[in-house]
Amino acid sequence: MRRSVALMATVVGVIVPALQSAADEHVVSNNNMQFLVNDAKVETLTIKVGDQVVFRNDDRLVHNVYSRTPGFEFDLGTMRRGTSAKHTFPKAGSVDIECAIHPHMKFKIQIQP
Amino acid sequence: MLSTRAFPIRAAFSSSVFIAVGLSVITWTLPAQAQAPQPAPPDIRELKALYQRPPARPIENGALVELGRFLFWDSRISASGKTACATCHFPYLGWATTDDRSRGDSGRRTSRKSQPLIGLGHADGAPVGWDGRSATLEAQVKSSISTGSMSMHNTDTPVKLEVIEARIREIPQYVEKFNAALPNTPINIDSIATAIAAFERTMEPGPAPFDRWIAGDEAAISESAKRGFVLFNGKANCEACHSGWRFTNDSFHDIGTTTTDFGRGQQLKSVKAMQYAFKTPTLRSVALRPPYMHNASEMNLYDVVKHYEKGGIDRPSRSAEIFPLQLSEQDRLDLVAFMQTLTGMPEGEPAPKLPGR
Repeated sequence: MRRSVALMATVVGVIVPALQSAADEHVVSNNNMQFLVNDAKVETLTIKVGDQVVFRNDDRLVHNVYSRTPGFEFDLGTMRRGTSAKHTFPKAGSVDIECAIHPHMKFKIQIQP
Repeated sequence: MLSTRAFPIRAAFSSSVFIAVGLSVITWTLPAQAQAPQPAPPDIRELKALYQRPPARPIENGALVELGRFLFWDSRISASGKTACATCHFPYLGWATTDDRSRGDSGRRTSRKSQPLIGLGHADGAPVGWDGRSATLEAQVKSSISTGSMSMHNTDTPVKLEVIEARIREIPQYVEKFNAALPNTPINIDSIATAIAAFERTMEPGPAPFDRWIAGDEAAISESAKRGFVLFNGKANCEACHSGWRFTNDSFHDIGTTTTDFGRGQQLKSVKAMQYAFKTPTLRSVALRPPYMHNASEMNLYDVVKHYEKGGIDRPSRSAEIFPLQLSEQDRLDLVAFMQTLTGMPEGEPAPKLPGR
């Protein structure tokens, strides 16, 4: 009985909170010179602090993903067709994401606390 | 360049090491697909459908465009009073030039060849200029007049912007035209830029033999040019950047030309792919305006093809769309023949009689 209670306490006290706070993974793809989420052009993607975003190039063209938003700068380099790269957003804020090669490709990521 | 649509990706590549910049960045690559299966080469009819040109851009404010036309041709908006927009952007050359460099208002040579303005009204918000430093055409005009090639900003005899604005305000015909185009708006650098940009957006490419071919006239271009079109969209991979009816997707690439000019990299210092990168120019009427490239490094279209055949300077920033090609002499000639079909006829316009002159 004691062992069952202890096990239950472990599940409730450790595992469940851990699952609740686990970071999510979001997928943003490039196709037809657009950033897409679930095959639809994305204007704003809302995520939580600590979430990862997978950027996947499904386009026939080479792309790039970068941000010059102060405090959130990053550059995923040249992304050829069929490649992916992940980026973690560790703090709250609003980040402008662009393809440096095709500057009209852009969207915003809102990172909530 | 090699089209991924028509040909397999030439080289398999291992996972790249991406550079992370700035705060708290955690990135890594997933394994690349070494040789992803490629779709079959597209039908020529499908290819041609990608090059149907849209109607001319509608003109919302005709008076504003007319005002902009006068200002575009008017050297009184430059510091010295001697340089107009049209000094470096000639109407019968795709609103561009054949000079390898232009001479700015300060008397110094510009650092790059002037870009063609033709078709810019369809650019849909792309950054303007070889290095994309201006977010809009209006910003480019303001920059050029206030601190750029139309200013004497960095000379011993600079002219204040207010002086230039006053020159225009003192011409009654201009005041009349401003009132008609932009009622209740002061005549200043902002309204001048608004008008010139509105005019620049009306610089439509003239109908070219290529357009007649796309429309169904098989006799409009030569068989060599037709082969060139297929190469352009296939083995040569030109369309990776020069796509669509304007023959540009307004993208930025290091094509391996220069070793001194960082181009877009001056704006985006931390983005590796943008070092030595320049905006892809339109190829509309391209045959009219040698020499080519931002630095006028290629004397003719044949040399341009040879440049891409070699692949330019191989360095980390070089576009992944560019790599050495295997072209025959006939291929080279076919590509040139194709580009020669893009010349608009008629195209351009004569200089107008300016207000107050």
